[in-house]
Amino acid sequence: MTLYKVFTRRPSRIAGVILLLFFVVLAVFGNVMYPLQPQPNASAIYAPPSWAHILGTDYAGRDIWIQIVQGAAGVMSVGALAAVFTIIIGTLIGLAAGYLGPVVDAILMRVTDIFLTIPSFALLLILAVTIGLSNTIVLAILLSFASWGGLARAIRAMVLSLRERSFIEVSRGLGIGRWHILFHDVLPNLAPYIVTNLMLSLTAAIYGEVGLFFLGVVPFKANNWGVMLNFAQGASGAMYSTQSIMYLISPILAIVLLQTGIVLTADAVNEIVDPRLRAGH
Amino acid sequence: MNEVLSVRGLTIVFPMGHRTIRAVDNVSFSIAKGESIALVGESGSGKSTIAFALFNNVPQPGIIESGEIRYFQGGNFLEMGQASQRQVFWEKVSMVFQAAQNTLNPLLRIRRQVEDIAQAHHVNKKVAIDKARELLSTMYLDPTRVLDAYPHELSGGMKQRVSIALALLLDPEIIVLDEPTTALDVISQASVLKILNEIRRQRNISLIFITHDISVISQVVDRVLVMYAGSVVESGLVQKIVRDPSHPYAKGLIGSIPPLVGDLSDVHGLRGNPVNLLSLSGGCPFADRCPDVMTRCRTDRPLMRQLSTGNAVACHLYDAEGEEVRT
Amino acid sequence: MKYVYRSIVALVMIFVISSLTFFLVRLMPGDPIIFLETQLEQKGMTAQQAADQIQVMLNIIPHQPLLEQYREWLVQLLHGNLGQSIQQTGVSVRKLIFNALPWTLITVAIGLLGSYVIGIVLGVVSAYLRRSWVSSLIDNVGSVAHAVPAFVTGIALLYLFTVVWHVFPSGGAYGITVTPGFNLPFILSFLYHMILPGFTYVLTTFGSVTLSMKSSTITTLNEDFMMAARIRGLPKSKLMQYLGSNSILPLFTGFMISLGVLFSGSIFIEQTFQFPGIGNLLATAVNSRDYPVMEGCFMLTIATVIVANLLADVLYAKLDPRINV
Repeated sequence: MTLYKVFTRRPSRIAGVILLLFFVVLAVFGNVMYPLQPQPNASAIYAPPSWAHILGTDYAGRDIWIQIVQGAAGVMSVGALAAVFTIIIGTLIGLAAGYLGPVVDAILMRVTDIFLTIPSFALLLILAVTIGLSNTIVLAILLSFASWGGLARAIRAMVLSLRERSFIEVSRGLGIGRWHILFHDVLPNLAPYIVTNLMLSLTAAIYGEVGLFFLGVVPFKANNWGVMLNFAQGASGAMYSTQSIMYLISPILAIVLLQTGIVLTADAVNEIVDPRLRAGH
Repeated sequence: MNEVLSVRGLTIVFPMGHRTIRAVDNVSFSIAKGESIALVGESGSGKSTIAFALFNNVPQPGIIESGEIRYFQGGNFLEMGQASQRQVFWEKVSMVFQAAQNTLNPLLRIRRQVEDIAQAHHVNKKVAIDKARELLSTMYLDPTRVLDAYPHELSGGMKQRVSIALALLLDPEIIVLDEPTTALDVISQASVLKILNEIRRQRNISLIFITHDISVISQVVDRVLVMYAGSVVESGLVQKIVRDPSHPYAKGLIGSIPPLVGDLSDVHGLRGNPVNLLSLSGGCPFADRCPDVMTRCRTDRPLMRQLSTGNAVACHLYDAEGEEVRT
Repeated sequence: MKYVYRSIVALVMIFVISSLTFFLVRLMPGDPIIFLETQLEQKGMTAQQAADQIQVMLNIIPHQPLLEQYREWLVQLLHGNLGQSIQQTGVSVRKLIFNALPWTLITVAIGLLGSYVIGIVLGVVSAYLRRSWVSSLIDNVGSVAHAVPAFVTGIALLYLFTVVWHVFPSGGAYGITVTPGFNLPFILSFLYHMILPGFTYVLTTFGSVTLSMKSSTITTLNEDFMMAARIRGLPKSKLMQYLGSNSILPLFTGFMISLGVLFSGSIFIEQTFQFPGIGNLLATAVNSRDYPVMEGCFMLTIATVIVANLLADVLYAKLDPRINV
C-alpha cells in the first residue's frame, strides 16, 4: 500500500499527524516564542479569551496559552525520552529472554510478570518519592521502568518464533555469530513492531508524567498540564465557575488532543510498517 | 438413472481489486445414487470452491455468479431460503473437511458436539449418541472413550475418523470428501478409504471426492472429473482416465504421480506452475503449459467433446467426432 | 497439585515484592528514617523517645544493621502488624487499609465487569465490521480513551455531571444521611456515588479489552470448526455460542494487565472523586511522605492483584479443557 493510500483511506490519520505535529512544533519552538514565564496580573484574574490572551488567564492573571505552550515542551520531551527508554529496556529484555536460553528466559519472564502484574503507577509513586525526581532524565527512566513489561513479553514471543524460522536456522548453520544474527536477522524483523510500540509507549509515558505532576509528587514546577489540572480542580476552584472554566478546559483539551494525535498517527504508522497488513490489501 | 445431484453451469468469481478471478468457470456434472466420483486437480483449480458451493458456503469474498445446483431432482438449491437450505445440510448432504483435525470445537467434548448436531436437526439426543457409538465402532474407535474426550485428546487420525462418523450421523445420501486423507499416513489412508468403501456399499451412499491425488482414491471412485483453472478439462470412467488419459493436462497429472512400484525416473511432472487465474485470456487456459500447444489454442476456448473411448475432453487435439486431430 | 504450586509461587511473589519495598525505602537517598527522627526530635522528643516512636510506626529499630531491621520488620509483618501512620498518630496502618480496601475492591470489580462487557460487545462489532470505517472508529476511540489519563476523564465527567448538570454527587462513597452497613438506603446511595467513578474506570479500560476481543473474534471466525459448524446445520444461536466461548477465553491472559491498569487508575480516580479507597489513601500518604501507610497500601494492592490473578488462573483452567491441571 502506498503512503498516499494509507492516509486517503482513513482521513482521520491525516488529522492525527497534524495534531501530533502541532504539539511537536509547540514543544520545539515554545520556549523560543515565549522565553519568559507568564506574569501574574491582579487586574486580569480569570480574564476571558481575547486577542491578548487567546485562552484567557488563570487565578493569578497569567496567560493560559503560554502555560500550555511551555507545558508542551516538558510533556513531550519527557514522554519521548521515556518512550525511547521503554523501547530499549523492553527490547533488550525481550531479546535476552528469547535468545539466551531457557534459564535466562525463565528468570526474566518471572520478573517481567511481576512488572506486568503490579499496578505500575503505584510503583511509580513509591519510586518517585523515595528516589526524588531531580531532573528530566531521572523522571523519564522512572516512567519507562514501570512500563516495559508488555513490550518485553511480545518481543520474546516474536524472537522465539523467528528462531524457529528457516532463514535464521540457515544463518546459524553457516556459523555466523549469534550477535550478527541478532542485529542482521532478528532486529530488522522486529522493527515494525518496535516502531508501532514506540507510539504506544509515548502515550503511556505522557499519561504517567502528567499523572505524577497532577498528584503533586514531583517537586513543584510551573506550567505542567498536570499541575494546571490539579489547581483547576483543587486549590483554585476554577472548575466551579463559568468565568474561570478555560483554566480547566485548556489542559484537558491539550492532553486529549495530544493523545488523540499520537493514537491516530500510530494507526497510520502501524499500517505503513506492518507487512502483514500491507499484504492484506 | 437415479440422479441425486446435478450441477449446471456453475460459475464462481472472486473480486480482487479491479479484476475478477473466475475460480469456477461454467462447471457441470451430476452424480447418481450410490455412485462415487472425484474432482481432481491441482490447488487453485477450483475443486474446493465447488465443494463449498454445494453448501452455498463459498469462502469470502467469493460470489456464485451463475449456475444451478439441484439435489434429488428438486428446485435450485442456491435459490432456496436459509431454512430450507439448512434442512439439506447434513441431513441429506454432509462433508468430511480438509484438515478435519480443526473442524471440532476445541472447548466441547465430542459427545456435546454430537448432541449439538442432533439438536439442530431435531433428532433425539440419545438416539444420536447411540448412532455415533455404532459409527465410531465401525471406524475401529472406542466409542465411550472418544465420546468423552475433548478434541485435543485425540490423535489426527482419530479426529479424521470422528469427522467421518459425524458426516454419517444423520444418514445422508451424499457425502462430500475434501482431501479426506491428505493429513493421514499411508496406513491410515488405506484404512479410512476401506471404511468409506464399505459404508458406501452398505448404505448405497453417493460420494464426491475432492483431491489432488488421483492414485489414492482410484480404488474407490467410479468416475473422475479432471479440473484445470476452474474448468473441467476431461471426464470419464476412472479406469479409462488413469490408463488412457486424453487431455495433455490429464496426461501430465497422471504422469506426475509416483508409482508405488517402479522407477522414479518414469515420473513426468507437469511443466511450469499452476496457472495464474488473473492472467487468463480467451484461449485454452492450459495453453501456456501444454506440450502440444497449437496456434488456435491461444485464441479459441476448446469445448467439451465426447470421445470414442467414452471419455469427454475439452481440447483442440480432438475433433468434433472425438477423433485425435494429429498423431 | 498445580494449584498448590501456583499458590506457593504467588505467596513467594508477594513476599519478594514486600521485601523489595522494604529495602527500596531504606536504601534510597534521603533515608526516611533519619528524616523522621530529625522531625520528631525537632518536636521536642529525646533521641530515645524518637527511636521508640519510629519503632512503633515502621516496625524497625533505628540505627541497627539493615538485616536486623529487616528481621524485626518481617516478624511484625507475619503477625499482621503493618506499623502506624505518621500523619494520623496512633492509628494503625492495618486499620486504615482495611477501612479503605473494600471500597476499592467493589469499585474496581464493577469497573472491571463494565469494561469487559462493553469491550467484548464492541470487540465483536469491530470484528464483524472489520472492513468498514466503524471498526477503525471503535478501535481508535478505545485507544484514545485508554491513553487519556483517568483523572482527565474523571475531571471532565465531574465537571459535566456535577457542575454543569448537577446529576451526580461530586465525591465521596455515600451520602451523609445514610449509615454504612447492609441497608437499602446505604446501598442505593453508594451505587449513586459509584456511577461516575465506575464510568471512569470503564472508559479507561474498555479499549484494550475491545482490541483483544476483536482480534480473538477474527481468529475464531476464521477457524475451520466455525465453518464446519455452519455446514453441519447448527442454528445461529449455537454458532454464536461457539464463537463467543472460543473468543472470550483468550481474554483471560489480558486480565492480569487490566487489573493492574485499574488499580493504577484507582489512585487517580479516587483522588479525583474523593473516594475513601486504597488508591486515595496511597496518594495522600505519598504526598505527606507517610511511609508506613505507603508501604502498607503498596503491599496490599499487590497482594490483591496477585491473589486475583491466581483465582483467574484457576478459573481459566476450569473453563479451557486444553489447559492441563
